[in-house]
Amino acid sequence: MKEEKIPYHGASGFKVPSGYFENLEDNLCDKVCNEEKQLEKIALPKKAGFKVPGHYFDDLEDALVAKIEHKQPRSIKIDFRKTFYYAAAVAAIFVGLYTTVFTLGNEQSASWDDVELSAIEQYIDDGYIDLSDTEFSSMIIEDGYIVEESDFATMNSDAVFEYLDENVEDPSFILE
Amino acid sequence: MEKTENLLVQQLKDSKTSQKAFRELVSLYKERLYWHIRNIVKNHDDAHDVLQNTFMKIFRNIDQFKGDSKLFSWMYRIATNESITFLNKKSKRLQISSNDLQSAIINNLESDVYFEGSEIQLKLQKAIASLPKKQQQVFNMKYFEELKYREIADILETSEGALKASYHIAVKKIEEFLKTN
Repeated sequence: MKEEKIPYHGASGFKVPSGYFENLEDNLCDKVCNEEKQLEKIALPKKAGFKVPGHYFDDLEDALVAKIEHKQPRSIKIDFRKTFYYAAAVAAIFVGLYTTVFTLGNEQSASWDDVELSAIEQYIDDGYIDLSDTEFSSMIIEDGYIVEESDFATMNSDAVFEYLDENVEDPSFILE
Repeated sequence: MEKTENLLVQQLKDSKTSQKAFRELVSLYKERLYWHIRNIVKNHDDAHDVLQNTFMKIFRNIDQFKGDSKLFSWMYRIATNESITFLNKKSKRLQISSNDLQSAIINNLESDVYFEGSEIQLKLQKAIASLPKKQQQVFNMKYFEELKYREIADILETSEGALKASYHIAVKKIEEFLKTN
C-alpha cells in the first residue's frame, strides 16, 4: 500500500496530546490484534473439525500425474462447431439462391404441360387460334394435353387399337 | 525459496520436465490447497473434485503465470475461484440460492463421516456461514489456515487494511452469533 502523507498545515488551532501520532499505529494494532484474545475468551476450537480418508494425501500425486498423462497434448482448440455452422449457413444461402434463381427462370418458360385443358378449349372457342377443322383434327387431345402428330410416328398400332377399344364409347367414330 | 519457486515454474513450462515438476508441485502444495478448498466447500468429496480441477488448471495454464505475484498466491487464487465456481454451479444445478445451498451443506455436516462432530465446531461452522462471503474467506484464511495478512492481501488482491477490518468485523459477528445461538 502506498504511503501518502497528506501534509497538515495546522492552521485550525487544534492540538493533540504529545506522541499521539507516533503511538497511533500500535494502539490501533492492539485493538485489531485483540481479536485473537477475544477468540480465546470465547474458547473457539483451533481446528475446523474436518477429516480426510486414510492415506488420502499419500496417493494424491500418483492420481493427479496419471490425469495429466491421459490428457491430450496441449493444442490449440479449433471450434469445429462454429466452422460447421458457418458452412451450413453458406450452403443454405446457396440452396436458397439456386432455388430462387432457377425456379424463377423455370417459371418464365412455361410448357404446354402446365396449361389447363379448359383454358385451351376456351382459347380455341374464343377464336384466338385460326385453325381449320383439318388442322384441328390433326391434333388429338389426350388426357387434357395436346399430343403432337409426330408422337404417332413411334406409336405401336396395336397399342392404339387397344386404347381406342378401352376408351372410345361410340365405335362409329373409328369406323367413319 | 524464490529461487526454488522460479526453477519449479521453469521446469513446469518445459515439456521435458513438466511431469516431474508437476509431481513436485503437488507434493509441496497439496495439503495447503486442499484445506483451503475444504474450508470453502466443506464436503470432502467436493473438495477432492475442486482440488483436482485446481491442479489441472494450474498445469494447463502455467504458461500464463508471469511471476507478477508468488506462485503460491497465484495457485491459491485459482483454488479460491474454482471453489466458488463449484458452489455456484452446484446451486444452479439444484435450483436453489447460494445461501440455501450453504445452509444445506452446514446442516449435512452433522451426519458427515469426515467431520469430527464436536458441538462447538459445528456451531463455529454455522457462525462462519452466517458471514458475508468475503468475510468468510478472510476468517478461514486467517484463523484456520494461519496466513499472514500480506499473503491474504496477495491472494484476494485486497489491501491489508481492508483485510484487518474485515477480520475484526468477522470476529465480532462470530462472537455475537455464538452468544445468541
